[in-house]
Amino acid sequence: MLREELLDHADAFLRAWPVRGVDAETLVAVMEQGSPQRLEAGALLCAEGGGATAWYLLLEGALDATRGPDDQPLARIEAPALVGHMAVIDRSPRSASVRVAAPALLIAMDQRVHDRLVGDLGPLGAAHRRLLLASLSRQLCDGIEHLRDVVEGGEPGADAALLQRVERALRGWLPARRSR
Amino acid sequence: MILLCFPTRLPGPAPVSTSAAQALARLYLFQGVPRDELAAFVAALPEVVVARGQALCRQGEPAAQAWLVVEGCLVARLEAGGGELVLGDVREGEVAGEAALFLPGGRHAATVLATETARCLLLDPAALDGLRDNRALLALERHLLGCLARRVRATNLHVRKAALRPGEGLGQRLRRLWEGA
Repeated sequence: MLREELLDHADAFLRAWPVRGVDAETLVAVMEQGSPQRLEAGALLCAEGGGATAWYLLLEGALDATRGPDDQPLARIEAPALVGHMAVIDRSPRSASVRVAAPALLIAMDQRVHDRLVGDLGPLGAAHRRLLLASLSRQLCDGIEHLRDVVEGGEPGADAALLQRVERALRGWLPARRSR
Repeated sequence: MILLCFPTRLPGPAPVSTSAAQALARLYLFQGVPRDELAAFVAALPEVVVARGQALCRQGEPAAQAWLVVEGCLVARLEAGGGELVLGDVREGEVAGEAALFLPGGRHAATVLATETARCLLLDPAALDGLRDNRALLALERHLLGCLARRVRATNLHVRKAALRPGEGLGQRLRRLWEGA
């Protein structure tokens, strides 16, 4: 890919998802460590339960995340986005399947590149870590916001704080009871 | 805003808090970091001591800084629906309020309190910029990647557990908890 093209994508990414201390030029340098991929609609990017070999910067197009044997829809992911990094970070199985919903341009950062950059003391390594840390921080904030919405959703009995106390009490009590 | 934590010294090259550096050197995540770089890392960051029950930050406040726990323990709580949910503990070597370091203009998503007297290093984005080539910062960021991935998964689990399934009543919800579903 042309550098100018990458720079446009990096600009678009950082406008949508700003990362403190990372500018477009540095993001391009990170992107250049990965492999560009163009995938057609319907292509499987990763399968639930499978091992993670890469994470991806989605620069164009859209992806669908699904879970379970009946492919229950979880989310539509539109470009620009960062996808599939959690399983690479903690080397856990993929928690969902991801298919291309609209023709996609991605940069694949494979595990080997990730491992090298995550331990790199230079500016490239710092930008790589910050990109991932910003994405995880955002996911965590969004997750907590979602949790608050669920608790405050007004469903009868959806008192999560009460349920959490009950659950703890049950957990302390159940093992002894079950062992009888 | 009520100031509930007390800086015990100002940032700068001296004096070096050798005790904080020694405490951090014992942690697995800083193994392999040269002692002089760990000392420089500690020297660049103000230390705060927070008493049991006191808050380092409150949910909804602008996020301008984060805290690395040197000793003691913090807890992150979410105020919602008139109650409080415990999101998780923040222990030695872990960071609270990390969104401030990576996301411009964010707010603290949860309230963070000390569950016992805790010593922390104040992590300020500008101070960390000055430590870019420090291996202690690299070690901390690597460690934080794993911590945040775990927290995201734990929060997603909280959401799944807190949500009543369609048509489910409290009794069925408790039965599901009983059965570990």
